[in-house]
Amino acid sequence: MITSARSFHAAPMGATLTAVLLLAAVAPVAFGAEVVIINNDGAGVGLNDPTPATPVAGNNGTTLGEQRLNVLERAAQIWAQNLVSDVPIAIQAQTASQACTATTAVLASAGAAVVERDFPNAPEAGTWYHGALANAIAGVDLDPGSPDITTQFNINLDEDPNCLGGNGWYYGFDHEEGPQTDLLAVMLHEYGHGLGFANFANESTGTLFQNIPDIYTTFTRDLETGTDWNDMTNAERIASSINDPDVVWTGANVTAALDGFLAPPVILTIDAPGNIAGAFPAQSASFGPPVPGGAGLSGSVVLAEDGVGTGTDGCEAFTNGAAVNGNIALIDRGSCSFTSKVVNAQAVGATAVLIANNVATGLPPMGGSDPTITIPSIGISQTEGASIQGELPGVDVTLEFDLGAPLAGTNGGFLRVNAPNPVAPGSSISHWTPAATPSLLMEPAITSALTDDVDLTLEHFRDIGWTLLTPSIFANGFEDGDCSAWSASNGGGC
Amino acid sequence: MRNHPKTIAWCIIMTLCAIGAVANEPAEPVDPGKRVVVSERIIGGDTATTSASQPERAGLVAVRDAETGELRAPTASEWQELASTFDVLNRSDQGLVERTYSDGSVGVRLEGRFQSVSMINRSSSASGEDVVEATCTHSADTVVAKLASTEAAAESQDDDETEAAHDH
Repeated sequence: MITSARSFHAAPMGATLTAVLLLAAVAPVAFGAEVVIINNDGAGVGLNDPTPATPVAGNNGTTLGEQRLNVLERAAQIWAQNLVSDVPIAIQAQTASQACTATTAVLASAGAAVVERDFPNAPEAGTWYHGALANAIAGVDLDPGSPDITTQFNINLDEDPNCLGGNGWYYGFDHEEGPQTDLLAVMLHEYGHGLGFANFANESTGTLFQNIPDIYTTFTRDLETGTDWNDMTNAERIASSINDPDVVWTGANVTAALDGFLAPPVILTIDAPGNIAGAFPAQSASFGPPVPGGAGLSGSVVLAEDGVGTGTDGCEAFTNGAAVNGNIALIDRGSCSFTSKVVNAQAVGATAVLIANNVATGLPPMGGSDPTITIPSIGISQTEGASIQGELPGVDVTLEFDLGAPLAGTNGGFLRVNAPNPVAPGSSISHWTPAATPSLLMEPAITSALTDDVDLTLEHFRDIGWTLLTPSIFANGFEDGDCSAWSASNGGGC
Repeated sequence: MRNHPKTIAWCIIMTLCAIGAVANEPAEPVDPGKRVVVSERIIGGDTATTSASQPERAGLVAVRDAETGELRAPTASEWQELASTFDVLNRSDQGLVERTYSDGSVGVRLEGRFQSVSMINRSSSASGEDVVEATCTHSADTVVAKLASTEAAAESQDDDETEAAHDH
């Protein structure tokens, strides 16, 4: 259940929150928790902006302020439908003027407002917990004078015509933001940090908050050294923070749920002719349907021709549409967006698309968003693209998953956390690895592929102590998080 | 009137030495049956306070003006924008108040620190694809680096656009 206090402005926090909670109603059955959005903006601005607005994609607000607040409530609602807490989760929200240029902007921020340790019922002694989680476990508001989460988002996206081209925030609920920026996806991610998906360590110095572990570092392990973060020295934590791909999340619930969420890597198998046959790495796309499971998708390859500039870049309508129809289109990277190429191929009846890289190393990143795309596409290396072109016609391929490979983004049966080398300051450790496929909500890159699905974050929350409305994978015969029992029956991996 | 960031290159030189910045707050009123604060201490032992107009950080912060190319102190409005970001990215516990309760539990209000920040960069790659990179960070250095790099790129690629933005 979501309760908003739209009329409360920048009053002293203690008085505001107390008043809000007095207004809160009893949570209905559909929600496991009650989330209170505390509107901290002043009259007439931000969340109280009276400028008329047209309802958009499920957001029925008729003013900008209402629509903004509705998005914050919608993000809170998604979490409230999953988490269980007898204590209302108070989110203090406001807009702010933050840095923005024509191409780069600070979008939003959020985090826990308070940390607690050694409170009643705390599962781990001497361990910091995020305030909302601590309240849920203790069954009481441990710090009633403070919100549990604070958040703000950059109002300049709407009010500064030079900020990101003046495209503004998207306030619809359908994640079809187009050139705008999807506030709902951003807030889902940021609330996730505030609810528990973040450590309080300083990766630059290796220090723990007050030199005491937190519940996030408790489940962080370096596989190369076999050492948990709580058992490391500061120097060891500094080294581990850049030790990709060996830094993993050891929580039993996430580990047990990997099979249901993550896919193995996508590959391109060249079936014929024999002289170039083989299986090769490929990059899945953030748009369109995924490569089919099982036997994958097979077909003959036809090189796209559009007759303009680089004729094989697929940026204009195909001139050989009849030949491409019913086959897999091969398109060279460059000159226009990945989605434009795939749309052009789809328009003439291609069953799938291969986009060959135009640089010697790596794979095309295959980013973008277009809900009209209904055929799968993958990126392949420049080498494989050239090999296929050299043998056309008569090349048969299959787009498929490498079922024998570890799940994308895992190591040793555990999900990796982000630990790139060189360090990516601030993105390290408190996010999943971006190598996970499909994209996860709590990866450092907030992709256009995200929806309302909070995916493995739920199992992460179960690991750190949240009770969820959905049953645990361990519910049948084992207690939640009973790692040793689960491992004994499943051959390890927990 | 806020100066638009396009008018400057966010070339920031920072020494991020956090100083004690939390005003002393009175203990919560005692609520019978609930936790009672038995002690408070300011982490780091620094009881200094800062004015509301200054960010809770010490050190040198300068901006490079795109028009003159010279370093200068940030204007008040530039401070406002930068400070709002830096404050939430502060990951120092210095100056925070640790409260110990009668049941042995301990709590710390983070005063807006330890936040994560989402950023976005929209550009076109050398290959012509539209590149939209939305990232989440907890680091002021990352924010500064991204803003500085994109401003520098904008300067070198489109002086006219930068000049136009000066009037904003």
